[in-house]
Amino acid sequence: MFEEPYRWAEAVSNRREYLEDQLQSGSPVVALPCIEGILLLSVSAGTQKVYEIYDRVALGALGHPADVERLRNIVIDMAHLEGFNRSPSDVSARRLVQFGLAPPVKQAFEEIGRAPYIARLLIAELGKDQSRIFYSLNYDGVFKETHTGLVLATPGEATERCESALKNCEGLENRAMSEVFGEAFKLWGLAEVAEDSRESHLRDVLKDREIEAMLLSESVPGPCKVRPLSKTEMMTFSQPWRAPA
Amino acid sequence: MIAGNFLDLLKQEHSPFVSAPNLLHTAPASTQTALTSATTILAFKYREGLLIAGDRRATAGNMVMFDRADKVIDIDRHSVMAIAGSPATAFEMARVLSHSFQYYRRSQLQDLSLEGKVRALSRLLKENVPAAVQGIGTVVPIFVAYDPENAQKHIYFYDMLGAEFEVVDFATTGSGSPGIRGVLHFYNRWNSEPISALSQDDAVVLAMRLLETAAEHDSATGGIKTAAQVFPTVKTITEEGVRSLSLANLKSLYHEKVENRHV
Repeated sequence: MFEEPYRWAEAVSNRREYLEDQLQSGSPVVALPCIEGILLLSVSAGTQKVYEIYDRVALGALGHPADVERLRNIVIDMAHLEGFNRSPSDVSARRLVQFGLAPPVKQAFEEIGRAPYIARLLIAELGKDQSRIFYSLNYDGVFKETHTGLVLATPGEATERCESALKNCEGLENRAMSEVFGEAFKLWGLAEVAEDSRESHLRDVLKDREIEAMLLSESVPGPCKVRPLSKTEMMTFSQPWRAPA
Repeated sequence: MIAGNFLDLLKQEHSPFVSAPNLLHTAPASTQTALTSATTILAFKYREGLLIAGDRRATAGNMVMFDRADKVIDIDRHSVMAIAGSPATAFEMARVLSHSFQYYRRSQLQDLSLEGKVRALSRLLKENVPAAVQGIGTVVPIFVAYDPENAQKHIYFYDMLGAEFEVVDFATTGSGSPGIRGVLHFYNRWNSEPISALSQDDAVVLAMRLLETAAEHDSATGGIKTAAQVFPTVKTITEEGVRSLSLANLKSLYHEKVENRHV
């Protein structure tokens, strides 16, 4: 069936269409720098979207929960084996993405006889030098590094909208997490709907869904620098969208 | 299928630590080599939480190998392990435990139960039995944990075969422990207040006095050396988590209430 190169390329192209279609209903994930470190935020309807991976690494995912789970387990296994066999200092987002995640994701995408991973991932790392590193990993294995923040949106228009909005968010690393939380929530809204209907969408969302947020911060005691935000913190920070319009 | 079990993951990856029992088939039945070992550790419950402490000396036979060993090791936010015995094996056990608990929590998206944590250490000790009976890696630890959900304090001690015992008030192990076990019993039974009623500062003072007592009678237990700034490792575990007592804090309490006779 795929003996001719053209047919293989066509099959891959069809697969891309299928995956982008499957990802359209996913809830976006936002990761932004803040003065405390890195804030990851999403809104979930039950399934967890933001995960702790290692002492200084967190992951956000958009896609099929079972595929996200498979990838999450791959990266957790790799991080813990590396941290144990060498040192926790040797566990880095770059190595996890470049050597742990991207190759199997690409392989699954291009092996037409296999099911691809229906997932896009965001990996954030708070460096010991206080650097903030963000990686996005696409369903085809393509990954990108950035230092200014990342929005994992559904492919197409939403991604372009968010990339453009993110460029306008300057100096986030000098702003407090409580403020950046609001920016992250607004970016999440922009990844869902166009700007003119964003505010009403954010208010509607909070009626039956819950914000999920995680902070990577040097101030967290102990070697693990990841902590989920408490319900009280999230209620306080999202108050502007909870109060009557 | 691995379900949050880091030890199984290590076995799958042929980690040298979990292959240690193979020594039984290859090493001689006994060894004349003096191995580094470590000495007096203790734990007790005080008013606000748990205290766990250990001296800093590591010895090999009659030789003092090191006087700044840390034998009290954080395992996670609410549990600490202290080791008596072979540091080489014990430090590795602590690393396995620490990674196991974190691995379980991160992969299974929930904390490992306290029973699960206690058994994990028991399993490591059982796996180490072949090495221990050959005299090349005996470990006799104390494991303490604060359960923040129920505000409960737990102290367990183990034998080298992996049997675990939960104690009510205190535990001591290591070569210097016989000398202080009786002191702790006496103190707890006839002092004006039991150990569990002590404030944190008083608990730290008691720990330092006990370790100095152990060092007085056991050459393998290191005493407190103020000139060299060698003080015991002392940690507390409360609802807020594990806290290591700073050198400044220990020095101040030592000078105030341990160094000189004080009632």
